Amino acid sequence: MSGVSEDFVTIALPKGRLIDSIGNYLSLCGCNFSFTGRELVTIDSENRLKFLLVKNADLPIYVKHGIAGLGICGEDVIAETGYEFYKLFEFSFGSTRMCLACRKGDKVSPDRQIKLKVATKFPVFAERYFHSMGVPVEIIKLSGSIELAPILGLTHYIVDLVETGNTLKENNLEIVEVLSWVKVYLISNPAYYKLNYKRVDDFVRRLKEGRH
Amino acid sequence: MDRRKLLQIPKGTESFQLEEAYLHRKIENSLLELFNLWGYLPIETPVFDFYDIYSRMMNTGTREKVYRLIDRNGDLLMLRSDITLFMAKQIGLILSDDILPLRVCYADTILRYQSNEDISHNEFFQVGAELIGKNGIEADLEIILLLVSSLKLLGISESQIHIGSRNLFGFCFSGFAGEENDSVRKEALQAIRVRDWVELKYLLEKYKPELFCRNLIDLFSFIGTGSELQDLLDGMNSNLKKETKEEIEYLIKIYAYLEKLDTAEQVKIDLSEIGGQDYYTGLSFQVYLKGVDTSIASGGRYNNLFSSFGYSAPAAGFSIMLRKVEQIAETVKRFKPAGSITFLKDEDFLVRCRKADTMRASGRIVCL
Repeated sequence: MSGVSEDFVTIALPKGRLIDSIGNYLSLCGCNFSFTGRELVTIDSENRLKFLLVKNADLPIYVKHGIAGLGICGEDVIAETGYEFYKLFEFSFGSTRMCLACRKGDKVSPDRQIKLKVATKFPVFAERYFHSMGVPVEIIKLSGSIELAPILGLTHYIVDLVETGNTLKENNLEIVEVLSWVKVYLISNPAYYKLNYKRVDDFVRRLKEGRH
Repeated sequence: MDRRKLLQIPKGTESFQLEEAYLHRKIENSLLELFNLWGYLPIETPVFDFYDIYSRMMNTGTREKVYRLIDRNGDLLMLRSDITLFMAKQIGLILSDDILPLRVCYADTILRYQSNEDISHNEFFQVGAELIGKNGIEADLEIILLLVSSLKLLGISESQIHIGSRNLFGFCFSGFAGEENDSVRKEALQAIRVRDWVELKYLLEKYKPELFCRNLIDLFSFIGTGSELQDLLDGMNSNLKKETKEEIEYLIKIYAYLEKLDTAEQVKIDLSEIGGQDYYTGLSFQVYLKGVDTSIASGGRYNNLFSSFGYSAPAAGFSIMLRKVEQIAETVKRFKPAGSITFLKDEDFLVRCRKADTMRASGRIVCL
């Protein structure tokens, strides 16, 4: 955990869809900061918090190794790493659905004795889900454009995050089932929290105040 | 065979050499010497034993990481994955009233599956001490004080010991007892361990609404000093069960003793510390250190473990994950070799031998 500053509470933020919402929310709580240009590290205006801008999927790794004591990210990303974190605060924004989808009208009947193929960016989540349902399944990990898999015949189903559902519609896909709601959390490395609980609790208190 | 393939090591194993191994041995020996000074004698446990004996004593997470093998007779064996468990059986073989209380210590490798990512946990080597056959506050304090001395010896006195109680969980969640509540009880335990108060509230409201009160969340989320816990307790006295209150007062009393012994600064009462293993029955604790991303030591009281091996004796102890602390700068500074190696240059071998003897007698490191 050599990267953790003694003076700052260090927080990893995810690049991508959540960053603007996080910035706005933290601003409501009196934590003002901005990343200028290609900057990836910045300090808040009160000189108390240090923010690191990292790739969404890498965020848990930075928190796990204590480079950042805290991080803000979706449950989907946490589940894929298999790491254990403290979830200290649930944000009101950014929640989305992890869905099972297929081509319109192409739902495979459960009595068909064939092994299902599922494409996903979230193999750990998907494997756990189908395993818990006792459904044998072949999971194919893709890194993007998941919607293509059923269209091109690679798999029957996809497991993916769905916000509005527009991308699915445009690709002639439909939701078969909502598997889980994915929420956005403030997470902490457990050891970091234990050693810095007062400062971290102060920060969480500020976040709670921002909710009202 | 390809040289790289020849030199590959399986997941979950590690090797270290030369200066690193020197440091490791030196620290291990120093800790064992310290334990000896406190009256703890060494115990050596077997590398493998019958799996069935231990399987019901391990939680699911631990069971999944155990290496199993089949011996020539077809018996299922497991490699040593937790020294306390193996120690309990070995001691169980010799336990009798006249040798209690018994103080034992150990320094040994453990073998369990760790993924590439988890290898940073460095839990391959445990050094620890166990006090068997003694119950009560003095026994619990002895274990905490020995742990404090061990951390001081390692040069990491700034580490923080977080103490809690497994009993507290048992008392507060007695409504979750019984097989039918097993999975909910496990979920509640996990929610407290990962400080997920939203989940804990949900579980209580859903399955045992009569148990739910704000007090439980306030209690298990508490971290602080003895007097801070006393303040919290004073504010909720009327709502707590007698045994819950007594367990909290017990922790406050432990803290008060530590204050009198000038060691309380290194200790926090943390009621979310309810023990990582199911065999804990009372005091439980973990040690955290700045610069290390997981706890470096853990332990607690396990009064029922020996009865699984046919002899009833209370016990408490701790293990330090040695590989986690060996790389801490202060520890390295303390235990690195004293002075550099002198290589003698004289042509005559006998001269070199005599010269080296004299120099070694004065503590120098000399190579022929």
